[in-house]
Amino acid sequence: MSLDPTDPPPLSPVLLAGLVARALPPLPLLGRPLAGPAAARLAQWAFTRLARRHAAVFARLAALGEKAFLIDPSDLPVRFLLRPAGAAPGLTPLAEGQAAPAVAATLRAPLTALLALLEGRVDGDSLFFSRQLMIEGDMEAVLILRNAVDGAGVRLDTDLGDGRLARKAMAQGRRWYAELDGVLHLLARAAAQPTALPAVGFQP
Amino acid sequence: MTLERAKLTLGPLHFHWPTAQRRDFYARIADEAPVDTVILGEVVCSKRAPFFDSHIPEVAERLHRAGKEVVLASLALVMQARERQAVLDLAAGDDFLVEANDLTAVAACAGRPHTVGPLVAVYNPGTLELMARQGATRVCLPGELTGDAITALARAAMITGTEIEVQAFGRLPLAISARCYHARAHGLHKDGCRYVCEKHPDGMDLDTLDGTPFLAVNGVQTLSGSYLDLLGDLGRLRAAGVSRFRLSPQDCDMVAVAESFRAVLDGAVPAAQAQDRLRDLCPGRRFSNGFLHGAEGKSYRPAVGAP
Amino acid sequence: MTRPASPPAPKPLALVCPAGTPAALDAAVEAGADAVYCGYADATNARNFPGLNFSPVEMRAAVARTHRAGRALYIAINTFPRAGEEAVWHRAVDNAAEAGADAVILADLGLLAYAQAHHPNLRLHLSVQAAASTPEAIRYLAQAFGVQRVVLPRVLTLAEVTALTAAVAPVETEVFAFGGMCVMAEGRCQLSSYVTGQSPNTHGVCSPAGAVQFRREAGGDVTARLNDITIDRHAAGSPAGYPTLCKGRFRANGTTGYLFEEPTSLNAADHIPGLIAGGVRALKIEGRQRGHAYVARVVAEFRRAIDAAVAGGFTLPDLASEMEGGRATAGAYDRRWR
Repeated sequence: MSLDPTDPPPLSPVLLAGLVARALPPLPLLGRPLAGPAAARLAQWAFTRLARRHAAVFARLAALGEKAFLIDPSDLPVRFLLRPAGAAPGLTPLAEGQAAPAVAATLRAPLTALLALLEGRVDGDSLFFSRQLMIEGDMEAVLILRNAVDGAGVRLDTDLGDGRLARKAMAQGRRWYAELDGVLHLLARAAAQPTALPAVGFQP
Repeated sequence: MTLERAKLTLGPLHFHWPTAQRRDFYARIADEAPVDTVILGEVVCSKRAPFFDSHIPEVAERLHRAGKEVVLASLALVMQARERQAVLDLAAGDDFLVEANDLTAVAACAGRPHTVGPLVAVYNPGTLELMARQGATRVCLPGELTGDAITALARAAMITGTEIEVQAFGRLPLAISARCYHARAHGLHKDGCRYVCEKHPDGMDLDTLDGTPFLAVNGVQTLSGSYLDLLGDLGRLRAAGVSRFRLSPQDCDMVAVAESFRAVLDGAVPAAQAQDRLRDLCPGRRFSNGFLHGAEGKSYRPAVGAP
Repeated sequence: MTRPASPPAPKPLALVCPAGTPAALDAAVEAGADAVYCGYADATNARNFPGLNFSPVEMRAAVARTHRAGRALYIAINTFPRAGEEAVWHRAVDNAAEAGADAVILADLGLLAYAQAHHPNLRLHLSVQAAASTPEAIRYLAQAFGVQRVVLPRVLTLAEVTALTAAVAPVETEVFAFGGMCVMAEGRCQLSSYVTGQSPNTHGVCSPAGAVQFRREAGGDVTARLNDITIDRHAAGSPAGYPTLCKGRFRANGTTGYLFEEPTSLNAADHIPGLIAGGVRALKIEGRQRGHAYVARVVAEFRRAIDAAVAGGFTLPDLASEMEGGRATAGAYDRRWR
């Protein structure tokens, strides 16, 4: 995947999905809420696994103490509470409308940009210069997080992709993604032919 | 412990004043200001130098007759061939002590007595000792040093026999550039600047988007928006071994400013009273001393142990 | 001096690249850097940012990896030792010598004297922070301390760089080619400390992160502040730069604008043929604070551009997305910039 920070697509697929999810409550899209217990388990599992695979990075993050971050994919109806260090490190999804606890900083960007940042495939400053990445709050904490993660060499497919639980989780993720993707294709058609929208329907 | 009487230096004029105003200014300094040393010469922009260079011998002579030591300052940022030559000529002269304001001048003055100005990076005793070995008899320290750093440097200077000077009044020179911001603010380039910096004899005020006064632009130089005021800190600095204080000329009654500092140094007037007078002398100005207290330079902190 | 590997054979124009993390170092080497420069994770270097830079152990490993690839590693110890804390800077020089660095990049004259006295075989480069802008200054530093290369201040025109390079030979010159650009003469700027109390010169950080705030206003605009000083305010979607004072928007002379410089990066790529012809020894890429994606991309583009220029078929790299404000300037290399 390549990112062109100078020209963010105004209607990325994920953004469209987000719009749909927001526009059509109750959320039928994925069969369960994005921030439900399954998603929470998946997020925490992925976090724990990354923490184990990249112990040196997480050692660098110890300087953050109990500081938490709100990770806000701007094209998804879900946000994540990230606590990289401290007594109970983890990644917790927050449902839309659910109040976020006090955080040191908020990072807001399209999901693809956030994942690219996590994997170090894109430079955070470049995302920032092009305003794809919005940052608010404690810049020192953000830099500690950014610099540690950039040096980690995270690769989500290999880092998360082996083992029975991993396969199960990845399969679930892929299923969700496929559902999303299917909806997106319908949506794309719908966007091209607005009158077709009601006929397509949104049955899970 | 008895301290030798602290001296006052009138620093180089940073601004581009008309020649007549400059001559009048230095005539009055010669006649009335209780300063021990006066630094002449263009530090900021070599394009300005021709306006006053030819008057320097006469002005220096008058100051000398009045009992003032005259020091000639070198340019802060040296790039072009004629600027380099001017520095070499300055360093080769026999009549006056030279203040080196960049590494070109430091190199040119090495091996003979000279002084080092605040625009040369002397941040620690190691560098100070090096300067002293090369002939620096006096060093005016960079404005951003903390009181603790000044104390450490003054201690080292006692061993090398170097005079330590600290700026105590006026706008702080914060940055120098190859680009002329005065020209840029007037839609001009440095080469065709039309000497617009002459319009602002105390620097061109620069405010934030919120309207907060912040900095002052003076050609290629950026100065603090606030005036440095170390009146309340003179005692501590004297005790630390600082032997000279620099007053940087502003567009105000510099004779009265010098009198205020002299009076506090002599114990004739309490610092608080002199500070009130200083604010009367510079209406509408803000004052700062944060660097000395290890804080942001633009802040004003009450002196440690002040009544 | 003993080294794990012999330094690379001389090239007409070496590409010197930044690395703030081991990952960036590997990216730079892989993308074709001739030399990589790094710093220790403290105030001894001018990119003392949280979570960035190398421990002494990481640095030793970095030197070994770089040498295995046949490249050079320079260690920047380019801040001015704080009075009373010189031991920290001395230790950094000792560590660099022990790690087998190919050069240390120093700014402080006292520290140069220390390095020369304690590590006579350690190659000395003069940092841009030292602000040596003339043949007289450079010859003096070469004579006094054995400085072998000088990183030139970003105040000189291309013509001045060329004349200076010829005048100071055999001392080598290195010039900045790309990345963040100080508008003020480096090592001589106290703007950041005037507002934050922390100086690039002694703390190694300009606009320290702890003093930076971005705030979204009610209307959607974003305000950037350094402590209580508003640096800029712009519409949410418009391009941004680093929150440094010299790239801020201010009011002066009755107008509001970027009085010092717009949010922009230096890009001197189109001067590569001229710099080669002028005998400049090395091109420097700024950006130890950037991610390894930036390093990989910029280094690869400059590697290609230099090689093409040497072969006589120079074409410009396209790096707009990596730039502050999405745009670039040739800075002082172009006389009109002044």
